[in-house]
Amino acid sequence: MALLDVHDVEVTYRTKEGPLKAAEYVSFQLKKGDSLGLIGESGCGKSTMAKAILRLLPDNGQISGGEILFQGQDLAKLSPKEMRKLRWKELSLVTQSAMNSLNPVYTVGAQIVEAIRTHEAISRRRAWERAEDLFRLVNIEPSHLTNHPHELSGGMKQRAIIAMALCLNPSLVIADEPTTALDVIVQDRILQQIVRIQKEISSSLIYISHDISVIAETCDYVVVMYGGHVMETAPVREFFRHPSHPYSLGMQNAFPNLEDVDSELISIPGYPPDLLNLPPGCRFSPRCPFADSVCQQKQPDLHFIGTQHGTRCHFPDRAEAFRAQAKLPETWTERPAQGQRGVGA
Amino acid sequence: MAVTTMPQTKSKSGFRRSLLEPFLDFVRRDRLALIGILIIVSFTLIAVFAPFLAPHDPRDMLRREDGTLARLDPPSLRHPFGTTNLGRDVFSQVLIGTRAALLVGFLAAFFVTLIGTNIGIIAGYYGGWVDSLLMRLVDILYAIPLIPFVIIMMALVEPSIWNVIWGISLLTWRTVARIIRSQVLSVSQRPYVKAARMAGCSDFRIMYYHIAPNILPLALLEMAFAVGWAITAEASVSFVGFGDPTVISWGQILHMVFLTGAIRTAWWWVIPPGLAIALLLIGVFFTARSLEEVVNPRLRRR
Amino acid sequence: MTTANGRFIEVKGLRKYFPVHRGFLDSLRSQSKYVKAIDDIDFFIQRGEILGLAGESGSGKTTTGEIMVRLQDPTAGGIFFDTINVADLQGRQLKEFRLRAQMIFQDPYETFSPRLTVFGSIVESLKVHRIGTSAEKLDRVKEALTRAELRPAENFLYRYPHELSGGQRQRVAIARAMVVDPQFIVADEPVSMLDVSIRAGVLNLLKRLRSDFGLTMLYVSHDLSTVTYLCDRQATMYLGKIVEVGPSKVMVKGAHHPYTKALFSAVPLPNPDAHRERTPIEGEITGNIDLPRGCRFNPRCPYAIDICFQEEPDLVESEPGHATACHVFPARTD
Repeated sequence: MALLDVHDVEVTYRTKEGPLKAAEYVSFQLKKGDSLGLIGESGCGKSTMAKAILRLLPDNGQISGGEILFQGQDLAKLSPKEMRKLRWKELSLVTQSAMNSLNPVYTVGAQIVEAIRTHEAISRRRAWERAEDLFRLVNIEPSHLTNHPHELSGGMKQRAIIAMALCLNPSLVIADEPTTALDVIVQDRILQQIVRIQKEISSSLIYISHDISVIAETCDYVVVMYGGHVMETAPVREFFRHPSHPYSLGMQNAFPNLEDVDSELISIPGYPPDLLNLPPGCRFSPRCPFADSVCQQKQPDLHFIGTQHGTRCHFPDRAEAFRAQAKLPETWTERPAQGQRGVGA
Repeated sequence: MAVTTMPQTKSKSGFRRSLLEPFLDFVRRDRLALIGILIIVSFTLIAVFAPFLAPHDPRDMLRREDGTLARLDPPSLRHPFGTTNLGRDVFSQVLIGTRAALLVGFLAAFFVTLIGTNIGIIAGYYGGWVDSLLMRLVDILYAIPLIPFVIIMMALVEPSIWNVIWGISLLTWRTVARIIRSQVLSVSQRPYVKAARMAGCSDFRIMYYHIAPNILPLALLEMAFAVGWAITAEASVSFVGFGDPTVISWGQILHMVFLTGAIRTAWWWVIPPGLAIALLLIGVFFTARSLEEVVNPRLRRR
Repeated sequence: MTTANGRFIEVKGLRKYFPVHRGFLDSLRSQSKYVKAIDDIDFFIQRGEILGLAGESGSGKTTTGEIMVRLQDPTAGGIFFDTINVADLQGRQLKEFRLRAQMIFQDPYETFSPRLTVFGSIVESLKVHRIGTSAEKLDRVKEALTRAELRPAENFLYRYPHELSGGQRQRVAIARAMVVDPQFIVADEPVSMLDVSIRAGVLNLLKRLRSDFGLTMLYVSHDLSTVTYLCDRQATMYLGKIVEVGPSKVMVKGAHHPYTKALFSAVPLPNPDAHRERTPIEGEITGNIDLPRGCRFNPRCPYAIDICFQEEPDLVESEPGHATACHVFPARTD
């Protein structure tokens, strides 16, 4: 049984301009010990999904549909009290600015110990020992437990946060852009540690990022989101060998790659969708070079084209042709007109 | 670096909403703001039309039907707020007194904001010794208590309503200067100020064409609060007897009640001016508070 | 026109020190301390070249960019544009310099005054320099928008910044820089706050502007992938010094300095089977106040030898166009 089974989840925000569906029909599963990368750009819904799973949506947001089955329980239906018991203990969160949420007045060790003792009835001494173990796990000298947050560097603070997130041995850790604010060398170290730790304590991980390279190196599965929808989902190697959704193909073109410094970067024309003014059909259709009239009218289903490989497209069987065409800059320079652009052979 | 998540919204008119629009938006929802504005508007109308609304000249010593001086008459149809110990109509006095309150309130607030904003912009933009100098000046001014200062000014110069206004203005700008300076310090670091320098703008142009419009909402907010402070200051100064004797103000009315010892018996003479002060201040502060939520969106409830 | 060495822009001995503010008593007791944001750097840029300046936070790269356009003043050193030392310019001459050198900033959401329309923001430099009649100004603004690929320009003229997306705003920022026909542009992390699918468009625009208008550029970024993509040559900075400079693509696998190698090997690759050989360096970046004796990288360098703790290495050319500041690498055979 999957540890986490997100099924057809829909998240709606109440705004001045009306209800905004930040996520719709979102489904994915995660088994114990696996890691899943949730990738997308601004407004795609990935952070919304993280907050939805942890039930940390702001006041004007709610899970308006679907189920989030965690160890059999539907998190969407739990009371705040029940969720509080699960948070930190079974589910924990590491965010981008988490290092700024450390209380500057207390030592880092005191904060970890407090987090542990709030959920578990163990002595202060035992909690401190566990904090020391955790610091060793994230490669920080345990002596730093007596430091205050401002005495630690950015990288160390973020690792301390990771230690805190792991202090109760949660089954699932959600990391939302945890390294984006850090320098590249520090980021690399932390990523290495995340991969190692995850294997050591075999907790599951959902890693949210806009950087496909980071996900390539850290995760077992990839879920691509755009405009609140899941566009493609696949095991990581399959995703990089045979990306099938036009958006995934566009993303690959747009990422500079140090292994291939001579290739031209191609950007996807147009702009991310206005969530208050969504196109009736496929969310990506206004920018898709392969869009046909059906794409603009009808939303595609998630079609499975391989083992655990799904793509939300009306033409899943043309993925190979798409891949070939996507490599050419000309494919992306014209905006697709209504029903005029088909798919070349 | 974060990729900021912003749902795309297109402004309907295509133009920047003026300062007024979000405020009007807010007033529609915020009951207290609406009350505040109604109070201010009512008082303003009263102040403007006071000579026509007042049934009597406030200084006329009036007589009763039997010819005696209408001393300390309790409220009646003829005198809704009763009379003073010299037979003057309290109602007329309160109506006319609105003028002093609003004159001092708005004018002093305007000067306070004018001086304070300019000093704040200059200190915040230049930094360095200019900032240190100006802020030390502000520190010194903070050490001077407001009411005694105004009283001393009135005693040394001449006790006129204009000197009340100047007295209040010359000291109270200290608060506005600090707040504006703080905001300008932050704005000066923004890329668009750097871009203005790249365009070759002079310091003056940067301060007044680029920075000032962006701190205007804050300045207006401070002006709104300053109205409240000025009204309070004027009422206090008049109450202790140092106001302009030729101008009728609520503080002065209260001063007379207190002086004649009628304060314990002639409740109709005490309550109306006191209530008027309180009501106007409530109006000002309700309005200012809701303006603050517009200027500082973080204060808003979702 | 060129500098003495035949180059368009040449920087010599540039320093920028910030005094550390201490209490009155402390300042009586000992010498003032400085944050040495830039500590004696030399480099040059050829006409029409894009030079990349890469490094992590605290390296001094952003400060260097700002000093190049005189947004900040250097503590010491010369910045030569052709034969003119712009580090000395004041008053009217400095204002004229602003027509030759412009800057694009990192944050598209703070790069415009919220109170000015797109037209207002772009035309500002024309107004200040009194260039052209009203009609001519309007034409130039439209031209600048078109060059930045915002077409039709009329649709953008009277919009306010908050109505535009991040990518559009950066293009307007580019138009604003271009409207005075500058010869040199410093771009400070222009795409790091944009969505990935939008970045490529802006980077390609910068490339095209260089080839169409012969612009010379300094591209400052911590993102080595974009630096390598866009720049002809790139320099790596560490704690205020340039540690290596060379042709962009050569540096990816052929860098000499341990820090440069560490940086490149730390960049994640979009390939699940990639095995990056990481250059092992220890610790984190130290502050620039109390710098170690000798090479400032020695606390973290796994290859440091005795001389590294005594003498600062000079930036020395090892191959044509490729210079390194290191006592150990590239291994000298003499």
